[in-house]
Amino acid sequence: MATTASWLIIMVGLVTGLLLIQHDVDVALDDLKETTEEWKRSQTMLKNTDFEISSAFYNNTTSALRVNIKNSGSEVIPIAEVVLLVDGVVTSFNVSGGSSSSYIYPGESVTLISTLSGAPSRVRVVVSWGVARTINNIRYG
Amino acid sequence: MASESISQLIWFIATVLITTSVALLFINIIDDYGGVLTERASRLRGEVSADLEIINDPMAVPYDNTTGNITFYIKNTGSIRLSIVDLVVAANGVARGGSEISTRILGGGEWDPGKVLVTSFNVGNLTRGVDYHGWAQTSGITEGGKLAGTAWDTIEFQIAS
Repeated sequence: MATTASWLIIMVGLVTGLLLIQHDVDVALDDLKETTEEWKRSQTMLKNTDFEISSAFYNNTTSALRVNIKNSGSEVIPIAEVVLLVDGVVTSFNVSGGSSSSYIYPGESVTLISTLSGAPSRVRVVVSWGVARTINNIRYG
Repeated sequence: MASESISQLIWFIATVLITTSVALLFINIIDDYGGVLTERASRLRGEVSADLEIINDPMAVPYDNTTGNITFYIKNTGSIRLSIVDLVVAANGVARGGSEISTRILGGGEWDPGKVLVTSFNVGNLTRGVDYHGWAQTSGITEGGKLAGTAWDTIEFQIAS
């Protein structure tokens, strides 16, 4: 009788434990699933984000720098995430061209226009996910 | 006969007490394990979601020779907000954090995904043409406001002329 009662108590304990852990396991598995999906998504977007600096031209008369960039990847590049670094310093710019004022679609080219106080020697453009390109063969005229 | 029954009763009670203790121990262990599992999954999610990148031009990092202040541009390349308060930056072996660094977000707002943080901090005696090592590290912040995961990046750089 004592043996039967013991087994019963142990089994009740185990079942109670399993019921308690079930919720935690569900939450943990959901977290892991979402983490995996998020990681895959971000890696795919990073892999597919690409662009090139076609040219950079500085007009000595107007002090305007014009940087042409082309979205050569398959992801849309939000213009809000584009950062222009001139000689290492973040510089404000206007955007010309493209079919949208908010995004650079794959295959599209836009021009970043900025008025500077002097001739630049290096231009770096950074877009989504930190993808960056640098050009130092700037044309002057 | 009576003494045998009492002996059996004592044996039964003792057995029940011992097995109940064992069962309660099982429940506690399993419950603790569940808590650890949830916490580890949440931490892993934080680690994956929190990310940053120092986007400076490595050949021209802004440096003020007069004040000794260097400027890092740090982009949130993760999928959750990053903590400005917990940011620690370093250059040439000098690490700074808290009130020792000045920060601002390009375009304003919080340090959300895609946003760039401009941070300046004092590092004396950097010289042009010399290669330096720098890094930045901070924590991610979940929607519930909890710290989750660590984001960090390093950069090999030269200061701007």
